[in-house]
Amino acid sequence: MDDRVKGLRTGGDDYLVKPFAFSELLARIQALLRRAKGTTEATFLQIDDLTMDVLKREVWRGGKRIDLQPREFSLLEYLMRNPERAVSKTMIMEHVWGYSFDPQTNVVEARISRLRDKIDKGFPAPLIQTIRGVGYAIKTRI
Amino acid sequence: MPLKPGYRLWDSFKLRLALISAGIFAIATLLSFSYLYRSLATALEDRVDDSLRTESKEFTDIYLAGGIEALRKEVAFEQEASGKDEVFMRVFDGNGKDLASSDLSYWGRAPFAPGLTHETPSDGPILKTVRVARDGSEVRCIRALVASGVYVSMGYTLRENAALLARFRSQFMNVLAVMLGLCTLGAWFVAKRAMSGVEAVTHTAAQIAAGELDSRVHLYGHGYEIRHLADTFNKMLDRIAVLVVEIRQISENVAHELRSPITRIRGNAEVTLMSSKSLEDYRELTGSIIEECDGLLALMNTMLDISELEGGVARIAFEPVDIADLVRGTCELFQPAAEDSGIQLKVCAESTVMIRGDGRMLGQVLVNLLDNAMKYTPRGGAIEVSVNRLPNHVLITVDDTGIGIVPEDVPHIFDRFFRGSNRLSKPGTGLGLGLAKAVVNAHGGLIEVTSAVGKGTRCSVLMPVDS
Repeated sequence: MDDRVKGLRTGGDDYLVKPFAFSELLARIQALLRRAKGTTEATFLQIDDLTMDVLKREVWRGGKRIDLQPREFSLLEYLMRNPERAVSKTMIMEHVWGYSFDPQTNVVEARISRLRDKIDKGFPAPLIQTIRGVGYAIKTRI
Repeated sequence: MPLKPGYRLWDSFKLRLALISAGIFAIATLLSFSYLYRSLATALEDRVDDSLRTESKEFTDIYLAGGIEALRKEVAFEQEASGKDEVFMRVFDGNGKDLASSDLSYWGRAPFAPGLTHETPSDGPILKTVRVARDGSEVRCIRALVASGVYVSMGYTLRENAALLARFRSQFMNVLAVMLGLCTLGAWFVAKRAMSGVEAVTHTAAQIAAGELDSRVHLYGHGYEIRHLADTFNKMLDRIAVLVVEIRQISENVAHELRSPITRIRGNAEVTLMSSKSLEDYRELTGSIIEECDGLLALMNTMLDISELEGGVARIAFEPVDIADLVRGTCELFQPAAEDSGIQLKVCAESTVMIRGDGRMLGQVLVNLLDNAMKYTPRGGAIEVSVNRLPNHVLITVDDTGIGIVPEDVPHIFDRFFRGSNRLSKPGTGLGLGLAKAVVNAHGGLIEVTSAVGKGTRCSVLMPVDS
């Protein structure tokens, strides 16, 4: 009991006393993740004139609806959730495809170039920037 | 063999074997000797007993024929013939009165020992051994009934028997001493010969410990067991030698693979430091460093993964995986890149094929196979990936219309850091297929590569399905 109080007071979100069933631990973590998502994840994202409605799965730029494939949508969502921040190809692989490595084939580059074709082509200010050696970032060019 | 510190004489197996076999031999010999000795002693005693019985019966015949006078003559004759300290004879009646007697002066109280006098009222013959007080020698005696009321007691000395047995004993001891010596020496030589094989192995091991790694055990004419030990030892050394060479090669390859990126990083940093001033230049340097480091980390991780998988210590999450879905997902990942490279990428997978395994690792295998296919297939070519369910297995094939692999390279294609001779110009570490093989083998599967130069390559992965 003391441990439990101490654990929660020192900043723990939850405290599980040994011995516990692994399924209980898993269920508790999932519950915490659900709660965390509810509070931090926005469902409407915007960079400049590019907007994304995560729930309706719609993307608009400059009043024009852009049609994206599911993976392209996930890729753009990942970039927009990290605005002005450089994300590496490995990070993209991990979050969008669930692989923790970067293939030698330029699979991410090919995706990005398709995404650029759809959201930046025909607009005066391209949003998706290449950060040499690091990866990509979505930001307003200064 | 020099004696090692802590070596005691008793520690020598040879000496122990010699002494133990000598000891066993001595015990066996002593046992058989005591059996023989006992038989001989019994036989000698039986002979004396037979004479005593015969003589006492003769007394009855003589008494019946000639009465007590005849017995007196017989006693005197026997004493004359054998000697008064060889035999004694005494004839007496039921009250102990002497009827006839030889000279008893030598025998002391022996003729009157319990059981030999009139005081024991028995008609049957009584046989017993009595000690003569004068010289400690023994006499075998009988007391028997001659006729009603007349008894005889007589004794034959056992001095000759005792002397015979004593001689037998001392000769046996001499023989035993010689035999023991011979046996110890023989066992020593046998053990020395047997151990010389072991010592040859020890000698070789010592040479190897001292740095002569090519040293091997050479044995001629030893028994099967020792030859087998030497053969096994040599085989072990050969295997270790191969492994040492392999490890040396791998270390050299790793060093080589690390040198170029680190040299590049250093060169870029030096150039930037010497000549550049703008923030943008430093940003670019940082970026290039990250890029190089990612490559190095990937190399390290792959090396570690292969080692762990081959060593059987990798933590593989064996979970149900839909391999068909995984193949479709991986192909979808490569599709845009393939289009950009002008390569047609086709998938032909069944709807669902469940296997047990680690989804991430298996995904990495598929990515590596597709990476290779993409790298070596020129614009206008085609890659076809298929998943076929077999009775207990699933066959995944990746076919390309690429440049192919020269036949002499095919056996080495899975070796760490091996790069095909026609493939050196392309980027890569030479670890992709090595990792693929390690993962597939760890999942109980098989991987095979067949190729025709100029026509294309086929990678086949056979995995057991989840039943």
